[in-house]
Amino acid sequence: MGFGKYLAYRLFNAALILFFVVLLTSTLFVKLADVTLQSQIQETVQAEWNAYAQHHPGGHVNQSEFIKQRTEYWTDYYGLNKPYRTRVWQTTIKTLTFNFGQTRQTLFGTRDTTQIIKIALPRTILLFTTAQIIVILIGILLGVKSAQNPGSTVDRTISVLAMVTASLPMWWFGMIMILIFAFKLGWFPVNSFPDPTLTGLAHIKDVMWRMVLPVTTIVTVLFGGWAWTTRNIMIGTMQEDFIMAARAKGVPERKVIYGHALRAAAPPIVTMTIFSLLGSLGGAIITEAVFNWPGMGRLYWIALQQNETTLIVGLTYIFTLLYLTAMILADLTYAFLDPRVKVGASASM
Amino acid sequence: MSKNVLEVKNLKMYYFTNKGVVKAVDDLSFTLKKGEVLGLAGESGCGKSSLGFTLMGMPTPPGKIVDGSIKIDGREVVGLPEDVLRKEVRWQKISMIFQGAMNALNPVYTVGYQMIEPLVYLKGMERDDALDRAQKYLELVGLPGDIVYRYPHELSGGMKQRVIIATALLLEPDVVIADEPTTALDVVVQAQIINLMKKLKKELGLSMIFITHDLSILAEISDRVAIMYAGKLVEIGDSEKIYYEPAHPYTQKLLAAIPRLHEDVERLEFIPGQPPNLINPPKGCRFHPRCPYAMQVCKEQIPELKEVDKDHYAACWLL
Amino acid sequence: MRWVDMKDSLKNFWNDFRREKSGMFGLFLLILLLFTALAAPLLTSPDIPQKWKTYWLENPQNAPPAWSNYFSSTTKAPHVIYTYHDLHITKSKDQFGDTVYSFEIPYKYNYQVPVKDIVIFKLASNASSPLDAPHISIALRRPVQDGYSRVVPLLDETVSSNATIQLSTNTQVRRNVLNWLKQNKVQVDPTLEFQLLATMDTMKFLFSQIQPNIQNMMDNPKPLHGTYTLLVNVTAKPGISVDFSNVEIVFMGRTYGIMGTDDRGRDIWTGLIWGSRVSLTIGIAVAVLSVLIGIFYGVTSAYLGGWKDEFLQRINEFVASIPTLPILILLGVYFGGHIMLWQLVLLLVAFGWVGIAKVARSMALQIKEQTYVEAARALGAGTGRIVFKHMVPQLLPYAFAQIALGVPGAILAEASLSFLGLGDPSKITWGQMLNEAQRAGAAVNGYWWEVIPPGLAITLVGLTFVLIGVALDKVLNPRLRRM
Repeated sequence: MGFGKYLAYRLFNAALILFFVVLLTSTLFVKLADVTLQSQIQETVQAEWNAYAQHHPGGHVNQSEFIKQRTEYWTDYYGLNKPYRTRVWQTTIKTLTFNFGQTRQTLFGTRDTTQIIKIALPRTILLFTTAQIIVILIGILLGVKSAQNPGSTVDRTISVLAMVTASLPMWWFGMIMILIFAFKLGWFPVNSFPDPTLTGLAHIKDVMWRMVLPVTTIVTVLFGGWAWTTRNIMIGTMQEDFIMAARAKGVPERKVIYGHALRAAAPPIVTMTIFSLLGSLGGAIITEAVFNWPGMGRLYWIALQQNETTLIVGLTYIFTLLYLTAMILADLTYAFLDPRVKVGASASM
Repeated sequence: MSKNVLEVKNLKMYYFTNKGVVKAVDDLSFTLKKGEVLGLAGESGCGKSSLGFTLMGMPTPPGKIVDGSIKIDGREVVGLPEDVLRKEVRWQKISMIFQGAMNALNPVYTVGYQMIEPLVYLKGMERDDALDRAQKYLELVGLPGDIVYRYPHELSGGMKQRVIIATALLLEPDVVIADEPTTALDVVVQAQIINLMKKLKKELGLSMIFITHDLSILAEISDRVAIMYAGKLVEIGDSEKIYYEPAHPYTQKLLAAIPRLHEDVERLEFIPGQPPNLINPPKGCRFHPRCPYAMQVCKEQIPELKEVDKDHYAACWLL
Repeated sequence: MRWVDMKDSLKNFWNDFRREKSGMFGLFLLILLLFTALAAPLLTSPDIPQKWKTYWLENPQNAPPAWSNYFSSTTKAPHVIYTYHDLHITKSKDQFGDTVYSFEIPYKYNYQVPVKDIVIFKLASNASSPLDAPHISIALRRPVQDGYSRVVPLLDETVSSNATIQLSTNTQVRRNVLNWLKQNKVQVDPTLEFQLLATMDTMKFLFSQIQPNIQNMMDNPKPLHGTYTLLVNVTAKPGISVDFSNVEIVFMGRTYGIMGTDDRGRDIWTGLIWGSRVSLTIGIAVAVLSVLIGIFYGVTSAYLGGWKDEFLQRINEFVASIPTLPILILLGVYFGGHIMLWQLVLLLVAFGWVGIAKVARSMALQIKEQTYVEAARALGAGTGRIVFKHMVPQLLPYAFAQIALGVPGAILAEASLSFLGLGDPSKITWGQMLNEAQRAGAAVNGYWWEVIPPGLAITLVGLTFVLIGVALDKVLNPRLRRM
């Protein structure tokens, strides 16, 4: 399969999954919304009747008649009288077009779900990208180091670290970090929510200061795994003939390792790590909640605590979108790094 | 008489594995004259490739040169620090033609990039000059110059092998080691590569060690032939001598195993048994367990190379 | 495979496995964990799962473990409970013919910070009207402090049946203590006295040395070490009987047991022990099911080949690209904010089989080419027979290693969901313990004993299986050894 075709297939696949996920969320959401809307309508109509009765004492309108009428009005307003299928479909379309609706409580100064997520998303990306870049740098460096000397102290330490961090919850490690560095030592703020009174450079400094603990948490939990993956792939690559050939040609050892070996190992390293990154995204999101970092994770936490269904639907959609984008990105990066795939694409076009 | 470009004396290279010491190259001595092609043959696992890398001064880990001397163009290279080896010896004095069908070319770099690496790192040449020179050498081996911009996977096996030959010749080294350059290529391409190497030998006056397990190829290209068995040299001499008057029983057996076009052979022979385990080689002559003429002395004492004829040596108690 | 061969290969396997030190350590941990999980009702008590949902009133809240005293300069009094068997009750008649039950509790105090409170639970009587209710008088005899009286009268009142008597916050107790201090010539400012009646930490005064000024006693208390005795008399009118069989006299500790308590007074150690059950169940069930399904799926796909294989692989890819956690969260909300244990197992399996199916398929494709599969097909063996009898057994070693390596992921998923508050409310899980700790702000308040142990337990279980998995992989899949 040529690369262009392959990419098209992946895009189609992603779109299909996105649609499927949204359909599922809508199916569940409409069922949930039914119950909440019904009780909401009852309350509203009762309040309306009370108000009406107050303003028109001795009015000639029959109470049950009034209630029936208003209930019908609201039922129609919310579209509850339409068939279930239609409503699921409508919700699906609305969600796909980023039209999530209103939350019940004000978050980040607005009740528009889309707006709320728009505020939170860049913060999550900022935190996660910063952490990830550090993880990649440390991970690759240590991975290469231990691949150079398998069985050395560095190598053993990394393998133990990879095993331990693979089985510990990242968010729990965050709680430990708070205990040690915020509570016990008092070096960093407990709350990662940036000070809203600061602007300009002071704001940037404040945000960076508050990022230290969450970033350290993510980095500590993830770099062992990265180093381990890099190591395993690099050990395989270092046994290739072209490494021997490069050494024979008098290429300096540093260039052999960071040029020939790492460059040749890059495509599998990148794909494997993007997938492990996606796997750790869930943990990282919960870690945000632990640190009170006002991103997607914090939103998830609030949405679950306060039962904000629209927010959950919105978050699920955006999360899925991000996830699928990252997967396609993984494919593209692979193709970019491995000339064998790139030319396959041009040849088939 | 032309001078020796390579002199190897009592060379020992052992692999120190956790199962024991593997004596892959054990007490080897030979010389290579300028403009001469020495064929090096033997069964797989006899240590011939190990010897190739040892001569480059880079035995495959966990291998180490234990003893002996390698003189290239009169300069002793055993014991030189890695840095000096890399900067002054490797590829400039002695280079290697790898088996091209395998992974000797890095799939993520262009052909040109990989060819000019020694020029850039060792000679300090500019990229463009280096590419010019690479293109010249590519043309010499019968490839279009613009191949430098291609990636290895875009080339056929034969083309890759030519690229590798060109790369080995770029710095005009005193000695070239060809490590099974034709193995895993199909027969037609094999013949083309052999012809190319013959041409290069004639035009450039290459001094070369040609390592292969295929004796019929050696007959085509080599002036002298050395036969290795279990890490030791068992016979060395002019090609004619080796082919027509093999002295060592192992060489005789090896030759009998080659199919010949011009003679009627009832059936191909094979050598019974297997090459010995090099961690614990047999006492005495290492070939004695498989040798039809084995005597008591063969089991006890190691035979030395003896001159059987002018410039023809063999290590056997029969002689 | 015949039994003898099986025994032989098992023996070989065990010989190889025994040499993997980390694997053996993992096995040891696994046995320990299994024992803990199975013996949970014996190690603690069988009614814990029901009790877990309530407030544990007889325990202090947010108390650190007792052993934390070893690492602290200010040692805190641990939690002590006296039950019927610890009380040597003497019964006598007074001059009015009433029955007097009296007992003494000796209490050794050598800490810096005294107990929070002394509480009497479940003192029952058969009195039907308040007039008949028995009368209790409590006093505390302190160790000798030169020049000061030793006995502090604390309480003198009638008690209704099954009432809880908390001494620390009782106004009468506070007044008695203040009076006793004044009798011992302690200066008490009248406005301060009024304030103290409402807010005084009674135990602090009872367990520290008397100083001439009460302000000093408040700001800079000096603990009075030695043996204290709690003196209790219960007087009951004729015909009224008092039941001490369920009585509990609790010295509410500032520290508690092996792992302390949480904000509801629950014993964390008990929770840790019971939590192992859910963790192991989830981990093992999910790993076993998803590996089995994955292997069958992969092998079948490889065996069928052609468009069927293509189709099955597309489904696999489809499932693989669904982000698990958000979907689980969504379903959790849909199920009413909680995912039951069995639902969670099914869901995690539904997402968990894909990776294994992919590897199993590529391995099966190699096996398929082997001659004996050809031979079996030529002999007329059906698809099912070939898949189950010839291909699956070859993949079993891989499966065992994968099962072990898959456990931590499932455990982490459960913990994450529980932490988000979507866990099974009928179960005690480490994730939920951490959820409650987070909601109570345990980390920011420094209640480390509520945060560290549950997470450590999760890590330990995960590590156990990783260790076993890596060792199994090395022993059973020698080809992968070089990877």
